[in-house]
Amino acid sequence: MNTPAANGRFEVTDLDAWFSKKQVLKHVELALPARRITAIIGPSGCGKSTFIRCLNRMHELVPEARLAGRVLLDGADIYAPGVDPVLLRRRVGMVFQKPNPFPTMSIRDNVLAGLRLTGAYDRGRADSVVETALRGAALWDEVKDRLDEPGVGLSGGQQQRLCIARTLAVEPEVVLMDEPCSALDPIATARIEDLMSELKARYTLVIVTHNMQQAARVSDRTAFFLDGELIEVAETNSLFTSPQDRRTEDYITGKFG
Amino acid sequence: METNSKRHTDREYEAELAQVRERLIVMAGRVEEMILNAVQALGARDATLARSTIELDHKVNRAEMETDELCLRILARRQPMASDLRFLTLSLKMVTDLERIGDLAVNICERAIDLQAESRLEGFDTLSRMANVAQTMVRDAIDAFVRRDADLAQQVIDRDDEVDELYHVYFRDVLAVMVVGAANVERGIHIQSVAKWLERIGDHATNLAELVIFMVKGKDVRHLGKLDP
Repeated sequence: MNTPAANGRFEVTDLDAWFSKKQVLKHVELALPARRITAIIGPSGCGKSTFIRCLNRMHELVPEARLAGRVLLDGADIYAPGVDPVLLRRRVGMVFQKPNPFPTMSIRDNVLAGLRLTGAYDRGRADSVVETALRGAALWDEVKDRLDEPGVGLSGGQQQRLCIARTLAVEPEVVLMDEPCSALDPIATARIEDLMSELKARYTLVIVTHNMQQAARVSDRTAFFLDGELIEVAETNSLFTSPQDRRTEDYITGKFG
Repeated sequence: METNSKRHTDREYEAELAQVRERLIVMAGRVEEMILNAVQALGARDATLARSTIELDHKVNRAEMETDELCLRILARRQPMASDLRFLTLSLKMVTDLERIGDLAVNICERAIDLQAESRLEGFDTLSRMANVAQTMVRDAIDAFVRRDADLAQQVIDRDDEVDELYHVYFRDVLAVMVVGAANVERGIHIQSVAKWLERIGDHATNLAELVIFMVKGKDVRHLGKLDP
């Protein structure tokens, strides 16, 4: 399926990951289809955040962290020698739990920050990049008249959409979201979820969430992790109604701990 | 629920689900009693038994409403998943089938009152056999629900053919009696209706059994082979 029309497909094979001596991912085999939303669920410490951090080589930024296995993006190994992690992270963007706009930057500069950092900034295109990214993040109408105001002056939900705009500005193929709504109120959460279903047309989305109802609402496929292992992956519709593995059943019905 | 021995971490949630289950069992027991009483009242032309059985239906109706309300409350507050979700949506359907079985038993009781002056009823043995099968189907469907036994539920579904067959035989027998003399027609029509209602009770028991299979296996076995390709 590595056709140009479907860029952003991940294929993870036999992935192990460690923090120092502690193994946090064990033999994970998981394909993430292009232009669909895959939700990763599981209890705290199950390895779900580590898993997505392996998809854009952020795991290796932690001292003493290492991994083994293969992670293919559109058929190419992202850990192959010669792959520039910075350029990879342009293709595979990430949105974090807490909205983290750069505090000293304006809304406009926040959107452009990724391009500046990766050396892809083009002054002539800047205005259109800002508008496209903010529209893509469903924020344009709310901020178009105050692009020079500080990004941190926005509400929490707007800040998170600003971070999504910053991610989209570098034109990624994949957007990883690590608990993107856990610091947001229900209305701001609904906006982000609504935005996700729009973004799906152009990007491959992977969302890590503690909120099972959110996974059930937004995703096409859901993967359940436990103790570093991928227990089950299935279409979201079937995973939340008829999971095949007893451990998935126990987790989603609240029979853990 | 008892998909396994594990309990929900939230004990209040666990108790709410147990409450739904208990209510269904009580309701089913009442409905079973109604079928038995209704046919007995008819056979013995016992209007008193028929009337007291009709009274029982009020409790069944109340149980339907209360169970519905409880299920909706749990759905709204707990957002159940997987087997819990299947169990609750099944419960919502199950109460409807049980309530309708209760209504059909009431219909039979009303006929028992209408026919109390009749000295005999044609082929009551067949009717009684139908009632036994239908009542057993309801009981087994509920047992299958309690024990999460998909095999027993499948047996209930298979037994529906037996009720259907008895109904057709009985229908023809009563028709033959009606053809003999006009005086038999009114009684014949009444008693044919009773057979039809027993056959409908069999259908509702089949529905219950299909729901149990869905709850246990997560597989929808309704209308198998009868849907458009």
